[in-house]
Amino acid sequence: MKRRIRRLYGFRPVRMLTARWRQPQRSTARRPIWVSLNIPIVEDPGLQPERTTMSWHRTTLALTVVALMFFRWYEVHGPIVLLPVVLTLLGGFGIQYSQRRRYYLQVLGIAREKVRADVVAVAWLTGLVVLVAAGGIVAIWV
Amino acid sequence: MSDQQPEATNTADSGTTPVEYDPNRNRLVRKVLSGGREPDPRFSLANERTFLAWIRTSLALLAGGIAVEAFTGDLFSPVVRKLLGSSLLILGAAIAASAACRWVKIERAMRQDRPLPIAYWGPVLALLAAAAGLSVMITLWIQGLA
Repeated sequence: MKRRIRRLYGFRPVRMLTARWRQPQRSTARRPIWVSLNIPIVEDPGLQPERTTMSWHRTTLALTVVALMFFRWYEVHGPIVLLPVVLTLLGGFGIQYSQRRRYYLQVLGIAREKVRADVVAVAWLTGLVVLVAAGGIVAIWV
Repeated sequence: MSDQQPEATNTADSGTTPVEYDPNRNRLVRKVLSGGREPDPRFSLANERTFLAWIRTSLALLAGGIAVEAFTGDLFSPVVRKLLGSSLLILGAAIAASAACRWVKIERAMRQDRPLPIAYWGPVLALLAAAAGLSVMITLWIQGLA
C-alpha cells in the first residue's frame, strides 16, 4: 500500500498522507468524495485544480518546444547542446511526474479551504528557465 | 523544533483549532512565505496560473531567440542576428525572474491582506512587441522599395 502511494504521488507521500489524516478539519470545510482510492473530487464551480494542472501541462509543452529548438543547434555546437535539451526535457518530465500529486493536493486544498503555495516548484522552474536562457546566450556568443 | 510544537496542539484538541499546521513546509517555504494567514486557495491557485502564463511567455521568447539564431540564416548580418537572438533570450530570462518575484510578492500581499503589486512587465512587453513588429514592417518595406 505504501509503495503504491509512493508510486502514485511522488516524493514523501507517506508523510503527506498521514499528516492529512491527523489534521483537524474546520467545521466549514467540505469533505471530498473519493471516486476511487486515489482520486478525490470536491464540488468547486471554478474548477481550480483542473485549470491549474492544465496550466502546468501547457508549460510542459512549451518546455518541449524549447528543447527541440535547442536540438536544432546540434550541427553547429555539437553534443554540448544535449545539456539544455536534457535539462528542459527533465523539467517537463518532472512536471508530468508530479501532476497527479499536484492535482490531489489542490483538490484537498480546495476542500480544506487552504492550499499550500508551491514555492519549490516555482523556484526550480524559474531557475531552469534562467539557466537555459543563460546557456543560450553563451552559445550564441562563444 | 518549531514545527513539532503545533503537532502537539493538534493531537490535544483536534477539530477546534484552525488549520495552520503544515508538516511539508520546508525551510525555503517558511523563509519565503511566513507570517499572515493562509489566503483563499482559489487566489493562490490563480496566482500560480499567472506565474505559469508568464513562464510560458518567457519560454516562447527563449524559443524565438534560439529560432532567430538557428533559422534566419543569411537574412541578417551575423552581428544583428546575434544581438537579436541574445536580446530575446535576455528578455526571456528577465521575464521568468520577474514572474517569480511577482508571484512571491502577490502571495505575501494576499497573506497580509495588502493591495496587490502592479504588473509593470505587461506594458513593457507590449511596447517591445509593438516596436519589434513595427521594425519588421519598416525593414520589409525598405527591402520592397530597394
